[in-house]
Amino acid sequence: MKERSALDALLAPGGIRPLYQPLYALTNGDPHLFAFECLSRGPHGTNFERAPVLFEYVRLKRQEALVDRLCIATALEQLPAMASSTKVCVNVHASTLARDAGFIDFLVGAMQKADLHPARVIVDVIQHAPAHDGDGFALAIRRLRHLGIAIALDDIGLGASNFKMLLDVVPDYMKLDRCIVDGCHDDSKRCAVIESLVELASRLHSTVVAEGIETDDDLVIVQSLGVRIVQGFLLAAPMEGRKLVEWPALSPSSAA
Amino acid sequence: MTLQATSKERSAPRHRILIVDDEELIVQAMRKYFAGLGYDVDCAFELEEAQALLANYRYDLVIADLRLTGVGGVEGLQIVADVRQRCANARVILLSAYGTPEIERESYQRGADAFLHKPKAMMEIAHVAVNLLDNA
Repeated sequence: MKERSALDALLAPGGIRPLYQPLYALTNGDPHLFAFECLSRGPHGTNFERAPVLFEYVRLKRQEALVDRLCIATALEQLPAMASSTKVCVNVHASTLARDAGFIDFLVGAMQKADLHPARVIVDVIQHAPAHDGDGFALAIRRLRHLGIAIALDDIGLGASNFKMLLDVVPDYMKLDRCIVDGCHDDSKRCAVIESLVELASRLHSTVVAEGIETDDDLVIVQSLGVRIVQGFLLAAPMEGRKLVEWPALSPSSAA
Repeated sequence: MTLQATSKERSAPRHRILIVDDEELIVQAMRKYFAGLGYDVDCAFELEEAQALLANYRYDLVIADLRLTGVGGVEGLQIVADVRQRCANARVILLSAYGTPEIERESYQRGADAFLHKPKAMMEIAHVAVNLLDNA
C-alpha cells in the first residue's frame, strides 16, 4: 500500500501550487487587466495537476474547508507584490462558507498578511459543493459584504448552479462556465443563453464574466452580447507568481 | 495474449484505461505494460481518486482491485457501480486475492465484466482486457 494518502500529500508543504490567471475588462476598447484569479494545482506528476480532479477528490474526501484555506493561504503568501495593485479573486466552496465558522476570520487574517485591502478582494463561490446549511451560508455572505469584499458566483450554468443561489447571494459577478462560452461564435443556442444571462445579470446589478475564452471569434461574440469581463487562454493562461511579475499587461494604468 | 491481438490493438483507435490499485508497484507495472500496448492510461491509488477521475473523464476500460484499504474492504464494488453510472459502455475488470464466490457473484450482479483472481500474469489480464475492448 502507499505509505500516505493523496490527501496527506496535498496537505504537506508544497502540496498545493498556486497559479494566477488574469481577468480582463472589455470596457473602453482593448481588454485591460481587471483582476487575477488565484488557482491551485496539486503536485506535478499526479492526477491532481488537473484542477477538476483535484477538487472533485477534495469534495469526495469532504475536506473542502481545509483545502480552501490552504489554497488561499498559499496563493496570497506567494502573490507577487506588483499584483497588490489590482483585484484578486479567491475561490471558496459554498460548503466552506456554510460550515466553517472560522473561515471569514481566517480570510481576513490572510488578507492582512498579504496587505490586501478588502475592496480589492473578490470571493468566488464554487457551487459544486452545495451549502446545505443555509443559515451558515447566509451569515457568511453577510459578513463578506459587511467587510466590503465583492462576491462572484462561479460555475454559472454547470452542475449544482441554480437560480436560488443567485437569489441567496445576489453576486457582484456571475462567472459563466466555459461549457456555455466555448464555441459560442458558431452556436446560436449558446449565444441565446449568454445573452439571457447578461440581461439577468443587468437586472440583478451584477456583472457577467465569461470564462474559457480561447478564440478571437468567441471573444468578439461575447463582447457583442454585452459581456464586459473575460478570462481564458486566448488572453492569458494561468501562470506562476514569478511570471506574473514579468506580465506585460500589468501596468499602473491597468490597476482597478 | 497473442501477437495478433497486440497488432490489432495497436492499429485501433486509442482506448483510455483507468487502473486502480493501492499497491504502487502493481499500478506502475500495469501502467507501463498497457501504455506499451498503445493505450492511454490513468492510474489511481484510492477510491476517491478513482471516483474523481471517473467524474471528469470517459474510460473504455477500468481495471480495479477489489480492496483498496487493506483488510476487509470491497471498494472495487463501489467503483463498478460508479462506472456503470457514469460510463455505461465501459468495461470493468475486478481483481482480487480474496474473492469469495459470493463477492464474485455480487461483482457480476453490479456490472463487472470480468473477475480475476490474483495473482495473475500481466499477459493474462491484458488478454481479457483486449477481448473486452474488441467486443465493446
